[in-house]
Amino acid sequence: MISLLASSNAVASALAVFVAMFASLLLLAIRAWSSTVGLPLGRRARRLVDASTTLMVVLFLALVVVRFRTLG
Amino acid sequence: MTANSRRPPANLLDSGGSLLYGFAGLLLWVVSVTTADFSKMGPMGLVTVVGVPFFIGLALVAVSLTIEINRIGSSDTRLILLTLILVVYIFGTSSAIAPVASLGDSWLHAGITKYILSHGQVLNGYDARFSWPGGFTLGAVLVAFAGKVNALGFLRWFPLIIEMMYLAPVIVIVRYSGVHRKAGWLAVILFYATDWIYQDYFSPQALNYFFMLVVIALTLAFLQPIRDSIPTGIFGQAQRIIARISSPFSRSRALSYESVPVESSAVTLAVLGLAALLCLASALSHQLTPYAIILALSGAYLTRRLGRPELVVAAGLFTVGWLSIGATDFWLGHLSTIFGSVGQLSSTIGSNVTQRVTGSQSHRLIVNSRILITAALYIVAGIGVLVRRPYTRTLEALAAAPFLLVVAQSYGGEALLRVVLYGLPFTTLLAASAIMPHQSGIFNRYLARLRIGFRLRSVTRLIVVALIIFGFAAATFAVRGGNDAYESFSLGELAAVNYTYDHIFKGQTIGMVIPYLPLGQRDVGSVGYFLAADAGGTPTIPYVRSELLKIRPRFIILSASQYAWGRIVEGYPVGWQISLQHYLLAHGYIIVGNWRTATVLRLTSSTTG
Repeated sequence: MISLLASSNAVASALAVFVAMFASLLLLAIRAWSSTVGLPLGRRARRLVDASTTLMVVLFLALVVVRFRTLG
Repeated sequence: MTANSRRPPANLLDSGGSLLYGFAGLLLWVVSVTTADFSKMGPMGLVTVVGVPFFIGLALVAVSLTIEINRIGSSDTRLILLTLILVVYIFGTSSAIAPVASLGDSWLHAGITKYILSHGQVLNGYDARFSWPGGFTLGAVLVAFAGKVNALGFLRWFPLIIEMMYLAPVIVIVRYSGVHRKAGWLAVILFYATDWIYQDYFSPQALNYFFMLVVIALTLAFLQPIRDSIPTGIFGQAQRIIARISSPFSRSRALSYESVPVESSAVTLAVLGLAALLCLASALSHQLTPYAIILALSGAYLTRRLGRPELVVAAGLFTVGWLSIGATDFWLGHLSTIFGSVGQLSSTIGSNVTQRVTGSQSHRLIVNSRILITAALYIVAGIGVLVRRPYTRTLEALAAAPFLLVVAQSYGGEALLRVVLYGLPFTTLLAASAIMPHQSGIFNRYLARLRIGFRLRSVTRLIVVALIIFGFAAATFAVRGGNDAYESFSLGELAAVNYTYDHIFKGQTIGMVIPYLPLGQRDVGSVGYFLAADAGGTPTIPYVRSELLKIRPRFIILSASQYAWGRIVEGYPVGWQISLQHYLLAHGYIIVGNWRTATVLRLTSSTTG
């Protein structure tokens, strides 16, 4: 992890962007599924899912910006 | 005035009358296209070869649609049938008259499809379109499925087929838009009758427009507004307003109107999954449409018509993700292509509008008419916004959302065209609402006392609706085919191109004045092209001559379409291409192929470098 963050090229790699995108999509799918089927999630659990999703989307956008700046 | 006196006469709205007029119109269309002479096309394009029966037939179709919309007990099946006849009129005529497919880009797209089919991969560094290969890959799959060797068989009738495919999602959008049935069907008709934007040729954008319509149709159909308890009184009103403003950003969207799934959770999840899959397909296939989908979904979300944010975020992730990872070859080293025009609104509008109003009188008339049609539609739609009393303002948001694209990108001078296209289903719904306004929603009309809409006597109303449909349809047909004098091709031009491909070797270049040729369908990546008028300077004839001799391409194709372009768009003198040909013959070229509408010149061996 440390070696990954050590270089902007590594952070800007397609793999990093893809993993962040995939994780965001997974969290979004969980959010959509739980609210559609009416899963009785507690308030804390729902907030945790929402916060994780937001964090992962922000991380994805940050990685995209770094990729543009590094390679573009 | 009593209700009976406002009702149209029964014989006028006879159930069989509409179909009779419609099929009579279709018959006249067949007569028109079979007697039209493609070779006699004038500078105004397609409209110059169809003749009077064509417009009589179109008027009959407009009358038949008007009757069927207003008839008591009108049938959806009949309206679909009659709308398809209108679609044939506007989008099938060029395909029926021109001997081969129009628009050079469609031929190039067939070439890209062929490359993917043959090589099983994209060609990096050749064309930006290879960075969004989804649509071409689907085309390659269809070519292989049909047992063909290339996509050329799809080109000619593609515009008509794809426009017919748009009908299903457009009807769903209209049905769940909150606009009542008559206005809804008028909107469907206006959607086709005002679509002069030629983006339905064999291309990723045509396919992606279909994806966009389906995603929005799914959203509107499966997530519908329901009425919860609405607080009353002064405090209740304030509570409603606060809830309406803050609701898109809050966890609880309990007050006022809300969109909720109308099907079981399994069906809703499947629909969301399908919509997400379409967003992914779009992100892989086209540069601009995915952003239009994101804006449309955001508009639906902010106006509470899309009850959940997951689809919007997923569409954004797919789009930005593909741009970042999949389209690296496109932006590597020249990010300014993407972000260079952000915020440069005046230059974008300049490149989209003012720079297009050039050329001969006929060309300027066509371009000005296109602007007028769009302006008229937006004015009527604006009246619709003011006088209708809807349940949501989603249509307004969906019509306005694509304009944000203009702020971000000029898209090679085409952004404004695309914006109008992306908003068209909703703009036409608003325009239809001006003609037949809805009066029962919770949102107040902005102009409550303005009595626009149909309070006319019923027969007058029928005449006005028929005139509106005919006027828009005829004008759209005329301006849509207004460039056909140089954007449609003859068999001679195709033969010249095929001759050139048969005799050219790998690494050699084909030269031309401007790429108005059925070119690019073969040898993608192994043959070079040189466009003399597009080499960077002002394309005067001396400039074109000097550029051609500077590069000295192995073959040069001169053609009737290029000649028409020079006369109509650039104002070149009569016979300019013959003088160019003589000039080239005097400077090392010989004629190796000659057809009535095209000539192929080859650099002689002695002058080859």
